[in-house]
Amino acid sequence: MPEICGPVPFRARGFAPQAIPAAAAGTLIGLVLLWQAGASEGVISTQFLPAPVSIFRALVQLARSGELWRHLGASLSRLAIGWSLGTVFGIAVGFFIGVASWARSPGMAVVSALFPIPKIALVPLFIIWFGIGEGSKIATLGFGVFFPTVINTAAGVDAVPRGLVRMGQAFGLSRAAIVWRILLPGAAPAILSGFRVTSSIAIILLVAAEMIGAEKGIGAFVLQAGNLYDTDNLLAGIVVLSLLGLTVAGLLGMLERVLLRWR
Amino acid sequence: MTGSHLRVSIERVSHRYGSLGVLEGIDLVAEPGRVLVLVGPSGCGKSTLLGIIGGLIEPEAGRVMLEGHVAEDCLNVMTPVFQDFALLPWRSVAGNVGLVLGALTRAARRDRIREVLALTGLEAFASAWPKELSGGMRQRVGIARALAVRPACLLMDEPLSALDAQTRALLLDEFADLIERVGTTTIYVTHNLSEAVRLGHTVAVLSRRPGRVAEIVRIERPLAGRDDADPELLAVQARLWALIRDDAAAATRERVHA
Repeated sequence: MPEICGPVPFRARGFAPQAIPAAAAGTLIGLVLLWQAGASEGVISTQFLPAPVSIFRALVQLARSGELWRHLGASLSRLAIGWSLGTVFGIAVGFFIGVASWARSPGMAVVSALFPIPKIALVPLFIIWFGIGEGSKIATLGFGVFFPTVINTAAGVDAVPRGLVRMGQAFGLSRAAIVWRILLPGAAPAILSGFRVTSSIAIILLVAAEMIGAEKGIGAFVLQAGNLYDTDNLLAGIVVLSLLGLTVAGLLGMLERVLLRWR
Repeated sequence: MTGSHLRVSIERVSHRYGSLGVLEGIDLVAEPGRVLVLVGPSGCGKSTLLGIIGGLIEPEAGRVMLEGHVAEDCLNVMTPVFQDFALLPWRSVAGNVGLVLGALTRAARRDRIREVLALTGLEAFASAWPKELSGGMRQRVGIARALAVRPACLLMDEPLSALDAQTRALLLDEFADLIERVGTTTIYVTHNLSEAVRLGHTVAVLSRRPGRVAEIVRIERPLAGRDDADPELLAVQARLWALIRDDAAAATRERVHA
């Protein structure tokens, strides 16, 4: 039998990843610096991929001329209206599917049939229905946001422990009180995590809808810049979209920290 | 605290889940201000019977009759205390208690919350989240919530079974003290026979599934004077175990084979 003599080695290292904010920022800055260096040294053709400095200058110029705010304002307004409509109706329908037997099977059948349709394919139909103006773009966004919101909300309501609902019933809480005080807060984590998905979907559909028929909006601006081979402005528009996504994600993170501080 | 005086009569209650008979012809009475304890082997239908008494399960046959008077400030006649506490994690301790006091004015609700938190030793934890509390503290919140509605009848479903032995022993003493002080009719389900003899004025022994009332044992001694080491109570406990042992062993074998 082999002899053994020594301390017990620690074996529980790893498999516990931690967020390092400085590493995240450092990676992004490092990539931009690498990109800038490649462009400056001629390794990257600036005709096809402009240097970060050129993109930044284009952004400053767009901001000074007011063009950025004109396009961004139009996009933000469509995003806010379309996302809000899809979210409000999605939560309402998801709730009915989650709590009412009469709504569950018909609701899920409709959602299952319509959810997989790529919403961009419906833009021409929405243009026929709502015209080339704002209606079709908002409908595209709202429709795209609606279905995932329904699914997340219904799943969130289903995930609320039934024991909590029985507790509410056993204490004589009204049906409305059970919905507002137990089911809605209980489903909130699932609904809020759905917001991250639907906000990204909304930005994607926003750009697609603006590329198909709009004079104003970041999507339209990017398309125009592409048609003119103005890659500085094209990339500037894409950077604005990226910043928009990051801002929305940050705001949702703050909302989660406030509403889900009990977790 | 309570002005209610309620007698709960369980009359010929039977129940089944599909083809599985769970309860058969249960006749029991919980006397006003007294504690009726339900014991029996696993799966004998104790919790189902409590659900039926609380109006959360509709019995296949029989009925539960209430007789007596209910205090004017009673907000919920049949009030449960849950084994898993059933606290809303997104509400503070005070918020969980306040949840069931919607019928009161804001000021009355605040006073009632303060009163029951003091009664259960939770004053310092009013704004704590449930996740910040130990199991024993969470169950105190469950008790505070139940007492806040001035119940005419408390329905306690194995309220101590999720807790460690030390917390259980401490809370058991507190329960006995509270029940005697508040004087609410109480129906208490447990599989723990020492809890049964510590708290019960009447202990109903249910047989193996489908549960029937196999025996009713009465313990006349006041709750305040009871002691775990009391030879008389230990004798009652031994008698209860003798009544349950064969059924408990059979129920365990049944589970193993299943």
